[in-house]
Amino acid sequence: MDVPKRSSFTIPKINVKYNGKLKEILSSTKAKSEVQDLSNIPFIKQSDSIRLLPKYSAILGKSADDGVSMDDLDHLQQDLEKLYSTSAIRIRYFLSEIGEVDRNDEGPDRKAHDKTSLKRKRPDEKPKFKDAKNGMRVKKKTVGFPAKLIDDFLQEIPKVTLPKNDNSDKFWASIEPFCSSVTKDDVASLDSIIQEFSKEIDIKIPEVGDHYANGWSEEIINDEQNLGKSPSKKGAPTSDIKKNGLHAMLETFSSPQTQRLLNSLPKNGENEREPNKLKSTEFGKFRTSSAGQKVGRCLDRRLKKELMEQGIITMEDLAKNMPEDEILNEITKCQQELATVNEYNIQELNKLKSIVMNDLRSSEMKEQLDKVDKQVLELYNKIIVARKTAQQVEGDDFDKVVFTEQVTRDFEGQADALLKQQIELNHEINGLTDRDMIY
Amino acid sequence: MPLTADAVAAQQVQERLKALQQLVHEIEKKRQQSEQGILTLQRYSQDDQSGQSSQKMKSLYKMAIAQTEQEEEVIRKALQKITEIRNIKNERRIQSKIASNKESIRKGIWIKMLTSSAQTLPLYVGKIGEKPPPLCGAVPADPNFISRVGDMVAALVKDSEDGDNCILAEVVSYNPTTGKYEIDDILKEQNQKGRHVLSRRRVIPLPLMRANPETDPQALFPQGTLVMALFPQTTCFYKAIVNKPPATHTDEYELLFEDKTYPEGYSPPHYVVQRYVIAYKQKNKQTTT
Repeated sequence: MDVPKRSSFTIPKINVKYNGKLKEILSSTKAKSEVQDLSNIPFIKQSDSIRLLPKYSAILGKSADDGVSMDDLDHLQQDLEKLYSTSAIRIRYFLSEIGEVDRNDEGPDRKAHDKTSLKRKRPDEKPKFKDAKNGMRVKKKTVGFPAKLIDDFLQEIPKVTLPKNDNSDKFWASIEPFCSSVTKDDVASLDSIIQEFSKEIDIKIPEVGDHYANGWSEEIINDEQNLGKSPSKKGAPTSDIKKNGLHAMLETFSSPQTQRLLNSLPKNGENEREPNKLKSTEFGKFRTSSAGQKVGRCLDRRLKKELMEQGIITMEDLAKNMPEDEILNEITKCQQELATVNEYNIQELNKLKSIVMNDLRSSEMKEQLDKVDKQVLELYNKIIVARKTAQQVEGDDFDKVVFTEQVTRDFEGQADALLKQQIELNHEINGLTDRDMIY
Repeated sequence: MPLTADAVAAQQVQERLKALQQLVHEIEKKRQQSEQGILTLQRYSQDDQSGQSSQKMKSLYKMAIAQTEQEEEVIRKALQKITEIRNIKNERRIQSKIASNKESIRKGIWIKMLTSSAQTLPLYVGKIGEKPPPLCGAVPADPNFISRVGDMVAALVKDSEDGDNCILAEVVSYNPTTGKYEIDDILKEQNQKGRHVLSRRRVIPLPLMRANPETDPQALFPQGTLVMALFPQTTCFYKAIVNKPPATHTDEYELLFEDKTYPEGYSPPHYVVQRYVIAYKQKNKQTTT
């Protein structure tokens, strides 16, 4: 059965022109035995080489020395291409068969397997095989089995394995460090933190330097002095020169209106008893209204300098008049705030420390209590054992009573002591926890 | 000078022919292995049908695939050698043509050469999941593709008598600055007027590889596509409709050419090899026979 079928199936791979006829043969044999779908694997048997691959076989028969001649090339190429194409198709066929095996793993249905092998596996290759006239491998009946197809797909879907749900474990593991009991290490770390916070904060705020504008105005004054324009340079403080100086200053104002105003001022000022003082105040007003900040600054400086030279204003007066340093204020304010916060933190830390100490003490207590509990259990066991031995030693009634009495008395004493200890410890622990509640 | 170049080429060809011989023997070995694998597979599937384990089946399949892939690899190498030989030959032909300034070949011989060159065009067999490269079968060329000297092209030339004509031609040179090709009509007697100089737009490269319908049918023009194809026994391209794409790598397209002399407007089916069937461009204005 095997032999004729195989030969009939291998030919069509190569000579596709016979397809139509062979397809019928193929399907008829198929119908007889459904299982033999492996007999039509697309390959060229070596025994068919001479017939199907004449040039290839001829070259194979030649010795190595003869080699291939140029005339053989065209036919050899055709033969090789035949092999090439066949093996390419074979790989695709096998791949689809593997897919088929996978699919049928759950409930193998040979019939469906035969009929849908290629198409079900790789639907995208469907047109390929159809177009290629290799459809004889793919039975055309496939179309009749859509229900089966859908069934298979449905069976595939629930295969998804659910991931393990260990979230609760993870959660408790993450919580664990926060719930563990307090140790001495915790106290040590708390101590170090408290120490750090208790250190004196010693940050000095640097002195405020000259305003940059002052630097500029100084430069301008110096320049003017060097040019000899300023009368103050000569160091002869006469009122005349002063007036000239003032006039020179007034000339620096560009606006004609302000100039007129200023011109009237010195005249009025001369009538006063203390003309310079008045002028300085008046000039102060003008300074703010003057066109440029720089000019104002310059004027300010010059006035101050002159007034100081005159002895009308001293350095102390100037210092008093200095505007408040907002930034400095802000810094000191922040420092104060920080200091208070720090103080509060230290307080809290200390509180925490005392709680921790408390906790340590209570855990110590608990340990002791556990010990006592154990002792109590041991004692209980001892008592039971003693009773049993007492009961076992039968035959001597008198002895037995005395023995039990003695033993019981001993045990009673021990039990009382333990119980007292237990009560004390419990009391203490309760006291500690009560204190904890205060915070 | 040409003698030594010829000698070098001849030696190169000889080397490759030798290698080819060895490869053929290697292929035979691989085929034997593949056949063994297939026989095992068939025996297994027949012998114990009841106790077939799918795992065992799968491993057998996988082994068969590995064997086939090896076989395929060696065949590919052998075909590569053949292509190399052809390229060397073609190179020599172009060189001697430049040297001797046009040997004249009669039309009949040309037609024969064209058919054989189309049949021996390298076959492309894609691996699983691989896309066919440009100029394989119906796959168009890259937009920036420039045909090499000696490549066959379809050229849209102006004909004084009946407008534009799409002819089969060979690239002589390409000027990258002007973007124009210099081409030779494949028929020498047509070249007496001088070479054609055409812009890239009017030169369509022909496929450099054949597509295998059994593995890469997407690289073929499907039925009903409007194409330009070399009319049998001519060197001109005409409009046609695909009646049936090729079924195997040796098959040809079955085409219906536009022909007003027939009442239906189309000629009876003609067969044209893959190499001389190209996509129809809307702007290609040309006359029909």
